[in-house]
Amino acid sequence: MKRLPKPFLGFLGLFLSPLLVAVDRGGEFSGELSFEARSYLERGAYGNTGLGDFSIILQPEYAVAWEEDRKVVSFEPFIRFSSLDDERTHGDIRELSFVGSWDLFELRIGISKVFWGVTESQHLVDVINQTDLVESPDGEDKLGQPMVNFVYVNEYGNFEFFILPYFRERTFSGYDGRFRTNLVVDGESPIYLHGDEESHIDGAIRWSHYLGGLDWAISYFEGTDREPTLKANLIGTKLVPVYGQSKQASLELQYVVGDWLLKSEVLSKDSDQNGNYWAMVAGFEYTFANYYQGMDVGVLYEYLYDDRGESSGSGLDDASFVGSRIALNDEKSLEFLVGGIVEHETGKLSNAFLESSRRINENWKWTIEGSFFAKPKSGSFLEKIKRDDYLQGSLSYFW
Amino acid sequence: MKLFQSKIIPIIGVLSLQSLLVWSAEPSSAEVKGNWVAEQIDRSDDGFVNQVSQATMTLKNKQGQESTRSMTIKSLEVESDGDKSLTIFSSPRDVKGTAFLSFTHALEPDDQWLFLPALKRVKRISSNNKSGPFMGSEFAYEDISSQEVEKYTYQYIREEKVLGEKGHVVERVPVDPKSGYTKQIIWVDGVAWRFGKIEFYDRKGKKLKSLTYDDYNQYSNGKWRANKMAMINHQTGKSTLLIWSDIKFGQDLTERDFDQNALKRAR
Repeated sequence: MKRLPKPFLGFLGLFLSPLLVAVDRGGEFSGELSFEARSYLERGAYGNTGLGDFSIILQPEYAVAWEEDRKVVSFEPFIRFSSLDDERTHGDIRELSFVGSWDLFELRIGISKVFWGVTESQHLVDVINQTDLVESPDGEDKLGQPMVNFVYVNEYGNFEFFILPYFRERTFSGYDGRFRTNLVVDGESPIYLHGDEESHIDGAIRWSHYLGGLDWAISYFEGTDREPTLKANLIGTKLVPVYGQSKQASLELQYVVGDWLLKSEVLSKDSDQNGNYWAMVAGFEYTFANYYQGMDVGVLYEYLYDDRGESSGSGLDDASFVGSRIALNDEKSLEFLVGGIVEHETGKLSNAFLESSRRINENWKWTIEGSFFAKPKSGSFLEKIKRDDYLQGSLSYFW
Repeated sequence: MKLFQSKIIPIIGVLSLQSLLVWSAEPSSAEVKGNWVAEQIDRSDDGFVNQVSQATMTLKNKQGQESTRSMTIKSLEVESDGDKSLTIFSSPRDVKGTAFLSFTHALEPDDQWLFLPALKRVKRISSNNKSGPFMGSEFAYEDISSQEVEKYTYQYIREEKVLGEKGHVVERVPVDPKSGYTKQIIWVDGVAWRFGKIEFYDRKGKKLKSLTYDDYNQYSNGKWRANKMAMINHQTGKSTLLIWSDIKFGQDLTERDFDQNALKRAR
């Protein structure tokens, strides 16, 4: 299991005192314990031949709020034990922060998570937190990021400033894990192109506001690129992540009109390794609200574009995402989510997923999930992990 | 003199405005009287400033199986616009921390945002789905949202005793074609203007649900609130009992406690 590095622990220490104050006030203890069974449909191509992964995931939360929730201290550790992959067995501090609100400003300080974006198929502009990739290949899980986030609030919206004093390295599957190519990525010995390495102080600014049905945000980030390039070591036995510096500007737009949500994210990025490029996601979500006995049927379409073309490696440089979300809105909140991505160059479905969940009672819930790779573009990363289709069932206890 | 002005002038003002602006044709007396009742209900809640309460819903299906929903609801009165409200769920436990922010408007669509705690994501949502069930209950979103006068047209039906007082029965028809109802019949008392009952008629004109208000308390600011609201669906046999507790007015709340930053902090 990975250890948290020393400067990171030092940063933690800084926030132990507000936590102690918080404990003294008395807070609320809640959380989630999940049992997850994943079954891969084929043996992996690179010696990673295990077919089953049984995991236990624990994510408790202790939070204290006072002054009508204007001040909140929260602590949220996370741990996963995976039967398949030692690298997937890992822990993190998702949240250890204080957030305070005063008349015209807000201050968030500590380890926290910030989400930017409006689209569903890809979170193009979401840059503050590093991806906890071993959690899920969809990249939606994030590692806790040490930050100072100051927000100035006035009639023209939210003006935010971020100082990110410590960089988190992306997690990667180990030898027995899936979603990897023939060489294992050694996530623990990365190369930094900047001398300050993981202590480089990153920063961001953001303006967000809304007017009627239109919400928008304009952001700028400068610092260590969250996305590493992977380089084989000299003797060609493993891959090493290389983290460069990057600058990026982004725009998010969402317009609500009737049953339509129109969404768009545009990114312009200049990075050490990829040079200057731009990318976008644009699309819509239409909901047939209360279609039948309270059931909502949503239809999603998003177009994905990356100016780098094939060299983006994702295979999503010119692609369409089509999906549907069906929510029964019954007392058990039964939901279905299905989606797939079609690459325009090949005209074929590259990958698809499905997800369904239902509450059992006050505290328990089940979820099933499947991820399938169909005909990804040859040479793309998705093609290399084609044998990693899986079905997964999980049972979660919430308290 | 001051008292005289504040009590009488606004009533005259409201009535003359209606006859001047709302109808160009001569309104029927049933319309005028129905509208007058709606204005009285609306005015009886003026000056509540803000409210914080706990709400628990008990959902019962046809077989009698129960499930519960608990939430904290904060609301803020906004001058010359609809109210703002923040709903924070605490149970079922899988939705704990999910929060819902709504800015009600009289005629424009409401502005609504949802906070999803797992992703720490604030999502703008469409307020068009007013007829859908709220958290799987028999309450639709439009049943629990702020009741602005302009959202309906009115027809006075008759006088009837409501909650032990001389009261009124009024038919109201939603203006919004997206409403799940063709009409509602409301029973309201003519003294404190409290709802006694509401009957809801579906898009086919058939009686769908009835909502009964019970166990009223008057608070120090003079406002009345029912502790119990029972919604029965006559077509499915399902029901939802909404119990209010810990109702507090005049809390230290401002518009800043009803914005997207507050949505992220909500507990």
